[in-house]
Amino acid sequence: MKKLRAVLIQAPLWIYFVISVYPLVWMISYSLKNNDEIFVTNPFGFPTHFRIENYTAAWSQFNIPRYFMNSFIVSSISTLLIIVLALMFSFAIARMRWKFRESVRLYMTIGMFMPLQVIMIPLAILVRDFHLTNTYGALIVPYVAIGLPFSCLIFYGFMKGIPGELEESACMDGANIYRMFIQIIVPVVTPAIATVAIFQFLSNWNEFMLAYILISDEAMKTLPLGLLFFQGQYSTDWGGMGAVMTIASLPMVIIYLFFSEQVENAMTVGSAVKG
Amino acid sequence: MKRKYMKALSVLAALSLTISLTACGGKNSDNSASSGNSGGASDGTKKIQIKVYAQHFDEDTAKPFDYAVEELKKEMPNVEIVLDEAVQDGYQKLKTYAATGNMPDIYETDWTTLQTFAKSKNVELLDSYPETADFKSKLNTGLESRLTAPDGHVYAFPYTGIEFQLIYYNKDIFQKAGIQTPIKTIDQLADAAKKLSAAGYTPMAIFAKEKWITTAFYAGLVTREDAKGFGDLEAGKPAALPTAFVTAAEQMKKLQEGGLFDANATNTNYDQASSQFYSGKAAMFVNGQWEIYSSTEKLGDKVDWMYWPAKDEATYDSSKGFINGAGSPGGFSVSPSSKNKETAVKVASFLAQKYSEYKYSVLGSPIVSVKVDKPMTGEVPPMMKRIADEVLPNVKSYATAVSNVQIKNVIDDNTQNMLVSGFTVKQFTDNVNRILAKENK
Repeated sequence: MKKLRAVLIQAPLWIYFVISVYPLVWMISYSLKNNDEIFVTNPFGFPTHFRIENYTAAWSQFNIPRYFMNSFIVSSISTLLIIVLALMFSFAIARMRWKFRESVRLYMTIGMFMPLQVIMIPLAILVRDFHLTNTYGALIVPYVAIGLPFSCLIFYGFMKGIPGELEESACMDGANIYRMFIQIIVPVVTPAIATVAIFQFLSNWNEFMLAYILISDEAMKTLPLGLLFFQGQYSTDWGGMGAVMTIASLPMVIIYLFFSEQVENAMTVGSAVKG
Repeated sequence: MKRKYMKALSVLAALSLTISLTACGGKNSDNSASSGNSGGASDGTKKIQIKVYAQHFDEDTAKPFDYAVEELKKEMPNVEIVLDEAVQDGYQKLKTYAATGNMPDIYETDWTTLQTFAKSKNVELLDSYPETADFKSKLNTGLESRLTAPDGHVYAFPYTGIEFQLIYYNKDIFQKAGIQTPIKTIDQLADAAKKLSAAGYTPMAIFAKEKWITTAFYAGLVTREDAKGFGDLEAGKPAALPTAFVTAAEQMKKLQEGGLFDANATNTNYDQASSQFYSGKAAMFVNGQWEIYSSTEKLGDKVDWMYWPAKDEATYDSSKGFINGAGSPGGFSVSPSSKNKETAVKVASFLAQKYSEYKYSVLGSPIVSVKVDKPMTGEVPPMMKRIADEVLPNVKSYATAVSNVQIKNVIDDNTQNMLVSGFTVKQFTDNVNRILAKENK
């Protein structure tokens, strides 16, 4: 009876697990097939003949290490900048009182509703005028700008919930505003920092549209652009594309698994205020 | 511990700011249509950089380009080509370049985009350049429409001739299903579709998710009735579809109702449709003559192509020389903002000619824009040989293209609808007539 109950309780979780993991399994599976197998002869089954040549083609067709490095540099710098700037901004609007605080917060939030396609042309002109085309800055600056609204929203929500007594006691002990921010507020919002870091890093890592429009120099291209190499004039090599996607996403999946545990741990940290 | 963590975070933040600022300012590579002087040639003269936006991602696109660039080094050693790789994105990136004033010196595009660029002054008019007169003198017979636009201007140097669509078929499957070839009439094709379905095959694979291929299929039927094809919908200014077009629509519907196409055809992309044909699930496949290389590679001597069927055998024989492909301008264009416009025009013309040379001499394709004096060295697929021996010498006329975007769109939309059960010929004609009446006032 107990066993049956345990099974019944676990069943939905297992179903959810299968639904979540299947796309990854399918991606790895089709990265080992050719077009005929993907579309006609064996679309959903496991590969009967492991086509490792898809991976060798993916590796030899373009400079994966270079693209990987570019993706890593752009994603990590953007993420760091987003966290630093969003933390400071959120502190200013959540914990300080000044005249246009609400208007500024609203202005920042509006940024979340700007479709990328709308700002693409002016952005490309700005990037050109600032002589950023084909530099890391061409991607870092827009990624930071695009990532800030959402990150600020998260941090603002967290900071709003921090009891005022924390700051008051720090103030009583003689902490200035910078010390209060760095030593009191930032450690308290660590769970939010972890969440934002993962979210922003992944979205920057996977970003395609801006990288495609603003980068044309081979040495500056990021990983998602590698997918274009498998699109022929008349047909697409889906197996090769799957291989690139697997190569590009597996490290991210591993990192995500590692860090998501950190987030969970951070979430369970209790309030810093004694009851 | 906490303090250490915070210090590390601060240092990292400072470091990232420094790196990003360095990254931002470090490489001042302006992407504008610059033709800066980069280094020197071996003889000490300064090299002219020409930025070329061209497709360069698979054998079909990379090899002709690389060949042309190698040839250019011999012809113009003072020119250095900087490649900006184009991909299959419907020219979106190129349009962004145009909108941001970031055009490459030379770019490869099609007639639809050229019309937009002509309005926005993003394409150089090549009419009065000596290279254009030279190109005209080398142009293959009947290809004027590939170089000179309907408005009389020259916008691009083409490298292919007039391409057209064929019906490919698997000879083995036809034999197994007991189908006689050549198929000459619509009735014979409908009958073949029934036999193939009964034998468990998809009669014809078509990637009708893309509208152009359904339009091409319809164009094949139209050209059997009216040699000029779609061009007549614009040139003759009809307020309603002429009889030839209605007949072709009825034929297309008859074939659809007879089960020629898969029920899921309008959700099928190229990769799916070609895989059906190459894996022996489909007996026929419709695409341009460029498919010859892939199909030969995949099916060897099992594959061949057939002429478009007609309403009867007499029409089939009399209209064999009417080619359903229509020539429209396209190829290598030059940006008016290029700092080395004259050189860019020379290079664009040269690249187009060398592309033709490669396609003719190495790939054995006779469908090229200019005359090539080099012999064919590559192995010519038998199907391409048939085109060279049977079709091209007997061309009576090529169809003409429709430039009006509204008319083009309504045909694209409604030929795709024709492959959907329940969509009638009347709906087709009503929809197209509505636009014709408006556009041809």
